[in-house]
Amino acid sequence: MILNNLTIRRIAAHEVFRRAEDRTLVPPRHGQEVIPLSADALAELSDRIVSVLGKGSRSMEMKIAEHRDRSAVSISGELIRAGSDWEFIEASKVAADRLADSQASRGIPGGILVVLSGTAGYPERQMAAFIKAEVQSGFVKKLRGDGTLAVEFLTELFLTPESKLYKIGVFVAPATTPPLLTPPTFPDGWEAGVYDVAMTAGNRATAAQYFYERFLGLAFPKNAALLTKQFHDLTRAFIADLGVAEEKKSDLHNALVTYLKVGVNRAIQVGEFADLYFDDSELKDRFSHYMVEHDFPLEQVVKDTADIQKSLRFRKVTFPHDVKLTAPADSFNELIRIETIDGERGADGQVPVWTKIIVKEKIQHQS
Amino acid sequence: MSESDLIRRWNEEQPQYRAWGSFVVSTMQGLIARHLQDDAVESFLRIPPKARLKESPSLVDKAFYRGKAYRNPYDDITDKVGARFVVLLNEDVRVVEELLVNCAEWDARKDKDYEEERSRSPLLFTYQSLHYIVAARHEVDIDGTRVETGTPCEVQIRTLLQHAHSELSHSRLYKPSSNATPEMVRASAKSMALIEAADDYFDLISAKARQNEIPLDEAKRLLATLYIDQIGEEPQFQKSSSIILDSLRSTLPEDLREGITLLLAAESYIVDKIKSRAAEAALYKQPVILLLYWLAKHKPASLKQLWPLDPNSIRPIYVDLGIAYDNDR
Repeated sequence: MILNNLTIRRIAAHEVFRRAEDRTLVPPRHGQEVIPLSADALAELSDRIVSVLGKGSRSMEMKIAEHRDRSAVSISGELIRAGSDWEFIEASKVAADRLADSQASRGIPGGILVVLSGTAGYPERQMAAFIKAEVQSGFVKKLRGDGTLAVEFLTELFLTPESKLYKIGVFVAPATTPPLLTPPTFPDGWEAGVYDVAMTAGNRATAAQYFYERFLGLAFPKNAALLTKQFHDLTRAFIADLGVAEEKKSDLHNALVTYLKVGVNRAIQVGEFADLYFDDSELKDRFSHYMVEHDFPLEQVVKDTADIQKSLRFRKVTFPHDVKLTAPADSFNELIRIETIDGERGADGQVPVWTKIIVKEKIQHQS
Repeated sequence: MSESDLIRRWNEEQPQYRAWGSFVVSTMQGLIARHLQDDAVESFLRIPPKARLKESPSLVDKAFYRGKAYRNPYDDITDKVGARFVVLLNEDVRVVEELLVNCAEWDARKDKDYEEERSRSPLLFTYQSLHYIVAARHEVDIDGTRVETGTPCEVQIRTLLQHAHSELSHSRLYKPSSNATPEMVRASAKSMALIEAADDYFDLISAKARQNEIPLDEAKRLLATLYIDQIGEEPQFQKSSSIILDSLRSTLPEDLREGITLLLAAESYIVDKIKSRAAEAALYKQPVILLLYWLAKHKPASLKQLWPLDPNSIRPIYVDLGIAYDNDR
């Protein structure tokens, strides 16, 4: 998401509760005032937001599915347009109510909903964000008047750096001002992103749906298969052109297959692949650059290997003079060992580069 | 002139010579300090240069008993007071020599007496060492002592290795003699050749180290100019900048100026961020901050890995640019 030059202007907070034992809604406790935060606190809040939604983060860009009245994107419009603090608070209360509505099961914990508005990007665009933070307890250190250390146990901390405990949805208005809020063009030009650890972890977590779908009115973009294929094709090309030894390239190709085919994660990401398989930070940067140059997003992308099943099935290594080796991609590593070696010195005194291939099986059939 | 005359005259004139010798030393120290532009004088001169007066017995000995036909022993012996400047490198010797020869307070000439002794005792004097005689150009008053025109002081300029060799060969191990056996001559020549080779290698190392610094020095200069142009304020220079630049050396782009100028044009809010943070955080007053913004944008993983100081100091740069610093994996 485009979150450079982030400036937070107004903040409000409300408390939402877990459903009662009989599954009825417990009304949220509304905050009544805009919260003044010190410059340090604002900087910390910006840091939290950019760390989980900025370039290269584990967030996801989403499609806006719900945009009628009282939808999250519509509320965002209200928050941005709010002329006074009072208007802002009233709009934010609607968001709290909506969140309480969407937390339909007893399994979903309560927490604090922080609603904020501000600007991001350059040139600036209006934005609004919704942060649901679970309340946790922790210890805080305090210095007594006499300089000794005291420890206090606080039961109501939230938005600590432990980022697994919060979820954020961000809406960024189009670049034109004033932002277009009226149909039929709304919400064209609006961008939305979500950070939620539960959404893309390997284990199925339907609990996450309440947040991105029911509360924020968002859906996964439909182009997951396309993006996954793009990721595959671009990364393959990048590896093929790398100035490294062939053995290293072979390892990286195996890594790509593992990442796409075998990995339990439901999303793929440029930075994640780089961190897992490139040791050198210069290479990581080059890979990011390469992907950005080819218009591939740095955020997380839903994994859908529908269009690359064939490419993932077999790996092929080709040599000049029509010599080819093919093997199933997922067992390539176990069955084949490839090594670059020095060949026999030729008549011209040069030592050629050869490849030694070991297949860990007996020949089954020759013709 | 008889021995006793010599001694008497020497005793009378010692204060003059002492004053002149100290004056030469302190003037040279001042010239060197100005040349080095900081207080590294103590480490530039490896041995504290103190003016030494010749002892009377030694003076008498040299005047009458060394077989040298001095016409005017008292005046002809030019090392009645001497000072030695011992430096690290050959190139430093040249620096001191320049300063000595160009000083307006005295006339400097190579010491002919020394050259002659050298040819007579090859074993002792096989090294290159600069020996100058500096004579007062006009009468001076130094701390109440009147020093006559022409008062000489011997000045030796050598490298540390040459000094070590000289100390060794003038020690009790050697007798000053021109009857050297071939083995002795060879041994002495070998040791001197080794010393000279070592001095040459030190010169090479010094030149190469300076060469190495050139890209960093250029980068520093460029960043300083850019800071003044783009931020419009006077930058500060702290040692931490050198540490930072050194660690990030491998990431410097080919066209630093263009890269930074383009970045600041495309995202000019960065200039405001730098200005507003400069009041509280020293890092933002230093020109290297411009490089850090460029790196956070274009080489975020490399900057994160190579950053030598507290990561919290560069987090705000990533936040400004909308780039996630942590990835929480």
